[in-house]
Amino acid sequence: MKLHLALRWIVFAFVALIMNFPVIATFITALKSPSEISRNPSLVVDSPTLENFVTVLTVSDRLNVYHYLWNSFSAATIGAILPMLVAFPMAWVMVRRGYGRALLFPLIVNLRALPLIIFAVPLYLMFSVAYLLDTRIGLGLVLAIVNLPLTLMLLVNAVAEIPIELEEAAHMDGARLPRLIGRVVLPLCRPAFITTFVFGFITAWNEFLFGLILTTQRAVPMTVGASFFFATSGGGVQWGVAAAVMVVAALPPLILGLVMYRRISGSMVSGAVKG
Amino acid sequence: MSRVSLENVCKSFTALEVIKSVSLTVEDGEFCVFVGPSGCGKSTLLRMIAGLEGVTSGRILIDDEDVTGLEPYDRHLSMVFQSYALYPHLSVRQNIAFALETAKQPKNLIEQKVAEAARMLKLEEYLDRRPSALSGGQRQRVAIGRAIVREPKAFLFDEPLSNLDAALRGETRIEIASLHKSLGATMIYVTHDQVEAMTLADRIVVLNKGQIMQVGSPQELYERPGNTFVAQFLGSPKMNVIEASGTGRGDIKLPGNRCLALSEGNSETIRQVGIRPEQIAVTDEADATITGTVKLREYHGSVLNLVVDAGPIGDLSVLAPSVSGLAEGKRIGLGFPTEALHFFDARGQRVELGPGARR
Repeated sequence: MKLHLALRWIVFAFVALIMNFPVIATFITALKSPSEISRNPSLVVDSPTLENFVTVLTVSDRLNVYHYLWNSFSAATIGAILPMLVAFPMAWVMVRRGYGRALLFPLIVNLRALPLIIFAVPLYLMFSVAYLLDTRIGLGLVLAIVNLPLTLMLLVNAVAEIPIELEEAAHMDGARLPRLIGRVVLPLCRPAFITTFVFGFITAWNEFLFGLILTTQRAVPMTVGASFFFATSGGGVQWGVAAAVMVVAALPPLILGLVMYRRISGSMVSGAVKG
Repeated sequence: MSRVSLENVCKSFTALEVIKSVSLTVEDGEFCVFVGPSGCGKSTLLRMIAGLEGVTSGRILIDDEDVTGLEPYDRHLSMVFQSYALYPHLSVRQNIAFALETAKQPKNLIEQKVAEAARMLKLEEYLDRRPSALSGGQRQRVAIGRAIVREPKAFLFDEPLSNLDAALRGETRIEIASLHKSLGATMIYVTHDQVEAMTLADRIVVLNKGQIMQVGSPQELYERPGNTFVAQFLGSPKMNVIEASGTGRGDIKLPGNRCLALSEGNSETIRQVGIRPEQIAVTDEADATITGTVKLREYHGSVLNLVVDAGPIGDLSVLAPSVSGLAEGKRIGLGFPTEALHFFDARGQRVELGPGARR
């Protein structure tokens, strides 16, 4: 029995190591000095250093990691929250009134299946007319569209999960639409909102394509900004600095995911109906 | 409290007609029970009164005010749902106070009314709990509490006891009855359980296939059912209905050439005879015109529930005292007291022989 358990753990550890090897390698490389990277490819660091992180976190004339972080943060926040504002009323109407359930819903959800690159040229032209190029709001708007299908799907499921009797009971209790939505439907959708926000934020944070096309300077997000660090002084790639900037760029969504993990799953409606 | 009237109310879902022209008045302070088999439209009718379902044609009046076009929140009715439908994210206190807060009542009045309802329903200890931390019976009481605090024009109950276990159901039934007494409120109660209907109702409305079969007090419906449906729906085990033909001479012929003698009366139209299982007398085989063999025997403690194979008449259910000790396979005689007989015509409608018609 003991052996059985030990074997199982060994297999788990081995698989986890293989799956996470790129992450581990990146993290370890970030701790190596340039000279060590060139002579020591192993996973053991001889003389660990934070030098690469210092390089990344120091503001230079050309590179400002805080600026990229802030651009990503604001654009991803818009990109996560805006679709919720749009999709929630839509979700309620689709579920409770049936409007758009047959055509609009599958249409929006299937937007997800289209490669985003086909929107690139028209979006660029539209943005240039609307003065949205290289703005955080502009980037946020595009990210909102990227997130809309998943957001709508999650919120439609959340509303559909609320027993109809609860809404009927609220009506019988004298509640009109605003109070029904504000006091019954919205609180019951809270777990779905949290889930949607976390997924939306992470997706928006990791988005690269539109960040590259639609921004040049003022609104460059972290994903694009990180690539600027790869070659700081001409010629070859600075692997240590590149690894460090990737670690920094990956931290915010990672932390968000870990903090919110417990709230993502779980339903609010237990105890509403029956026993 | 108020009077609720339905005038030629109809309801159809696309091609399906679920309610076929129902007219009914529930008087102020009355406890009215809608009963019928599943799919008879009783819940739909209740939801139409509540305003949760639209009306295809006809009118619904509360206190002579036409509410047919009003939304549920403008009708001032309370409803207790089969599934309780408590707000899971709110405490018991907030659940009960919800309607009062919606109506923007002053805080101290809300507190006072919630406390009163909690005391009445013995929920004081649970006020700060969430519904998920309550048992089924407690949840049902919260649902009732939520309904009573707002002092509605009428209470609507949609099979409120069907999710409770048998013991709790009996208890809660008594609580609802005493609630009706103390509030003197108009209550409309939907159930498929005839025991609930018989025990709670001032007046029972028996529905079948979207139509009212009969309206009356429990006693009226039990003693003088207007048709074979009501006759067989109320009472357990259900009434035996036997094919028969009236001879027009005061006699009724049963299958197998057995005759039931009636002194007088117009028996021509009679095509079916009904008798309740508890009113069939079990006698010795030798003394009886109708005999049968005990085919099945269910022991119920105080009574035996028998199925008797009475030859050409068919199977009859009979209740006999358990002391009679009847065993399966035994031949017995069956006596049909004429005063216990119910007569129906070819369409299943009751036929009255008139007073003094029976021997």
